[in-house]
Amino acid sequence: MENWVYLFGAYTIAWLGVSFYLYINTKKQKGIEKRLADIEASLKDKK
Amino acid sequence: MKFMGHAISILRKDILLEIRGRESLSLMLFLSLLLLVIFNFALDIDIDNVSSLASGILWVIFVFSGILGMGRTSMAERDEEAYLSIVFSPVSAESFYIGKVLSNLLFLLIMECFTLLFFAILFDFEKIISLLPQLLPALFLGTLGFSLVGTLFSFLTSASRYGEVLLPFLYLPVVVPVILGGVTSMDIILNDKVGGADKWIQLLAVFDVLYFAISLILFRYIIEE
Amino acid sequence: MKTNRVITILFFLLLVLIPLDFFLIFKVAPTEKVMGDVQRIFYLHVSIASGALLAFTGVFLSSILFLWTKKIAWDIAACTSAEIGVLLSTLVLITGSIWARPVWNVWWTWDPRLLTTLILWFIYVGYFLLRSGIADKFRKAQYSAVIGIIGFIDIPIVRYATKWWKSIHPLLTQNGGGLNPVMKKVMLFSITTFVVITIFLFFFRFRLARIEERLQILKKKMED
Repeated sequence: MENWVYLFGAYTIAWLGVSFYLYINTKKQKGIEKRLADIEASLKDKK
Repeated sequence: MKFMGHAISILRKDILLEIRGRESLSLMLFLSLLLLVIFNFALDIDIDNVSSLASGILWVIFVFSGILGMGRTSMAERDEEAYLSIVFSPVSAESFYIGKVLSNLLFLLIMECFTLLFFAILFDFEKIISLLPQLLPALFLGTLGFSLVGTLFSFLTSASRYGEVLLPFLYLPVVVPVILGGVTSMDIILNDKVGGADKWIQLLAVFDVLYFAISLILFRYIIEE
Repeated sequence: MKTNRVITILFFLLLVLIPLDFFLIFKVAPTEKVMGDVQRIFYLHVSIASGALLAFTGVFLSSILFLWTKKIAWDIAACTSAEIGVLLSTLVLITGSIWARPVWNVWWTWDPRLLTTLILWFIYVGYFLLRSGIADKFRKAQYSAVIGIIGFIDIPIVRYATKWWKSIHPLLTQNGGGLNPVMKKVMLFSITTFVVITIFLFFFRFRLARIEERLQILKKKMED
């Protein structure tokens, strides 16, 4: 019975780890895309 | 034999610098003496356990004093970009590497001999001196491994803004097989344990050849700008 | 964008593979007699480990290609693979530890395989320490490629040395080894799934790294 804790724990940590990594990178990606768009827009304004 | 000639002149340059007061050798010696004192407290060394602890203590000291010394010599090369004058001279990256390996090897071996002597005196363990001929192959090959990897890595890390502080983080994991070989074979010889010392010494030789080949190929990428 | 399409395809592939993998591991694979259900961690653990190995192989190959071609894209590829390798090998160590507790009754043992994984982990964490300390982009790429190559070649050396070291001491742990045919097939499927996940993570992170690069270039242009 107690062994279920280990089984559950291992799978949770592994998948949480991967999902968390993906989550952070998605957030970063969105932030950078937004900034890129801003910069490109301001470059156009200058012209 | 121009190749080796250049390497030898690098070695000679380093010995001269050392004599004229770079003092990396004396720093190494000082650290190993200090570490011996610390180990005395930490492990409560006495006549009963000294023989089984000796190999481990000695190699830890060799590793750390070695890091200190090698980090210092490569920092000296980086300072004011002194090594650049070598890069632009006809000395090839390979012979520069071999020269530095030889000088590091020499300083490490001197440090190790003194550490062994201190150890024998401080812990009343004359056996280690009388067994020196048998210990010598492992000591030499292990130190050569340290120097082969350490020379390359100390040049790598000295370019970073963390400087020599970074050296142990990169150097220690890579050099684990050499430490393992050195500690184990020395332990086997000191404690008359059964079998294996020869095999470890052969293994150390193989590691040295491998590290030498890889480092020799890669060193030029660290020097070239 | 080509990368975007690869990411989308892999994503949909994973939508099928991952649930199927779970189903196979928990429903199809028979329960191991001695260890019981805990043995199912093994499928996860081994799969992540193969993913990590793939990532480190990627670091090695990209590093060689960088030194050869001097194209900064290879450096980005190497650094990306290294990051995924560190993530996956961290997970390997954690899941391995969780598996060892019920099966071997310890959290950690100095088994050659564990030791090699740990040392591997140290090497690639060092890789990032070195990168963070060098400002010049080309020099950073050059130096970390050297670490990427040496670190990878060092793996079999460490493996061999630790194995020899342990052969003198008695071996405490031995893998059961006896996977039955169904288990083997499930294992193979699980490994495939994680290889795809690794490739997916790589492209995902690679896209981010490329866009970061573009931002930096644009910023420099703005300043000029």
